[in-house]
Amino acid sequence: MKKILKYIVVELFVVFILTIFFPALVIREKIGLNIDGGKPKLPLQTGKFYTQKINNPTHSINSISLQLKNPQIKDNSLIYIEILDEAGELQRDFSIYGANIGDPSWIKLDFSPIESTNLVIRVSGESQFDNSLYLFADQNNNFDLKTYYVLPTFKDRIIQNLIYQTNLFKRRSMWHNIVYLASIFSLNLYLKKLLNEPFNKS
Amino acid sequence: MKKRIKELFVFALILRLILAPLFYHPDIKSQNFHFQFLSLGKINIYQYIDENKQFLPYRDTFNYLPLTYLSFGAGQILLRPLLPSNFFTWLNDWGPSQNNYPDLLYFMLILKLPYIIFDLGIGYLLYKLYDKKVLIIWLFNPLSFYLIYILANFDIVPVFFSLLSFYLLKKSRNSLAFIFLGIATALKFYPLLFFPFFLFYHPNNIQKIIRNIFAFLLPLIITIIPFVFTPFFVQAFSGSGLTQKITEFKILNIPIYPVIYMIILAIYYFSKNKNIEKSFLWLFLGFIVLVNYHPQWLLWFLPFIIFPILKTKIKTIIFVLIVVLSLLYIVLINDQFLFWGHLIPIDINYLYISSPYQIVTQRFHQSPELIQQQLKLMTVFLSLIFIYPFREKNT
Repeated sequence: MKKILKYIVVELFVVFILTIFFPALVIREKIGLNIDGGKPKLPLQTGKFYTQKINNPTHSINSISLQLKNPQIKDNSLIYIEILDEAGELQRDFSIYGANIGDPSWIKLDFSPIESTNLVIRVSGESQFDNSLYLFADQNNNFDLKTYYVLPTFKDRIIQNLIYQTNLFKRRSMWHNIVYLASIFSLNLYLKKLLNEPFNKS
Repeated sequence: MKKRIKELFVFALILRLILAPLFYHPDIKSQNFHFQFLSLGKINIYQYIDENKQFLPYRDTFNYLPLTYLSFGAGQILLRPLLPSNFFTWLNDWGPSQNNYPDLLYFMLILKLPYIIFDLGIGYLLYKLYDKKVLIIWLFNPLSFYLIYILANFDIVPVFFSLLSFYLLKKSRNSLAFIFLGIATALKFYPLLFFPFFLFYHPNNIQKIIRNIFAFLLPLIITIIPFVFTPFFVQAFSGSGLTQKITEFKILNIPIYPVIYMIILAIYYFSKNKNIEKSFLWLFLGFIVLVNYHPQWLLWFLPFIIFPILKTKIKTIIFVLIVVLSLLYIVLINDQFLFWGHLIPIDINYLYISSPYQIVTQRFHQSPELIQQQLKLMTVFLSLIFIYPFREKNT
């Protein structure tokens, strides 16, 4: 039994380091919403604005990304992005010149974490034209949007990672989970048998 | 097989089964995307892709040899019953959700099962060729783990056949040795670099040399001839990586690596004791210094050079330093899937961490390309130290 233990310790150590410890150490920010695949359909012309509701389940949202397009990078008008809470109070606001928008590009906005559970993103612009600055959205005008949540302490990250890994395991094919774990277990039993066999000089 | 060796192999297998599924590189997906067309009865993959490009979700051409397509395509058909049911959905998903499949871990495990077999096969051949120490180094060194299971390219298969060929050559089973080297070359062109060294390993008369050349060419002729006259096949290879890259670095318009290669071959040819391992070590050092290599190409030389680098402690240490520098070079390439991206079967959030390239450019305002050049210079210096004791020994 003692002989196999050191092998099992190595195996468990590898699994722990790679799936629990290391992700908790380096992943300090988790992605929430990840909506992509829309089209440049919402023109950021003066007088027009667009809103989108998002939730903040961890109370620690600290970054959003929006996909925008400035065809041929011609328009240098200002674009305003505001984050409001459910009472309509301004939490964070940003203004970007059109020259900083690609054709197209994701614009990531980092800010100190917001605690409010429900938030609204409001995007508007000062373009004089209806065909020179766009926000990406789907047919229902839902923005192409990514949200990120910060996990400040190592303890938080370990807990979140354990929950994440458990959920991921449950979402995998159960048949594969069983066969995979059974294979590893059987191979360890075989290794134990080999280790316990008497040493034969021949 | 001795009990202790059996234990090593079983433990190596367990470690591989644990590690192989945890890492991903998009190459394994793009290759398998093309391999799936064999099950649809498409034999001429080059023509099929060219004619259907606009309808395919992934539009890159298939840049590998016909034997690669046929053998791995057949392999995929055999592995199909083991794969999770959404494998083909994932394989044809090149949109925003392509990395968000919980079963990615099992796709990786099943697709890498053949690699494990060839990897352990190399271990067995190394044990037969050398000793237990070389076997242990092969089975448990992090570099071969990285090259085989993290980068997950199929190079391990031609590497196995090259080593099998070398093993047979040592056993003086020449015809078989050259057939296997031919098979390796029919899977990926690079063993062509090794061919002249194998050809002159035994002192042979012209008749035997011609017979060996024929044995080597046989697998290539059989597998390439049916495709070689189609323009799509030639097009797919017009931008072939290896030929371009080994002639890239030039002085006075003369490509340097081919010159170094010829010098090493000449030294080998005129030497009394034909030391293939030493020659391949020199080829390897020249390669990492003078060629803008794809990381997985380092695997080509690895099984052959373990023996000479283990000869003394100092050689081992210098080699480890060279490998570390090469890995740093790779890490600084602007490709998220050469660093954090490998770990997405564990957590997709790895994709959103700044890559070393981004950290160097955005936080430290340095040029990664310049750092890569400095790393290459340090590798040159270390390589020279590494080669010196050989010369000393010869004199």
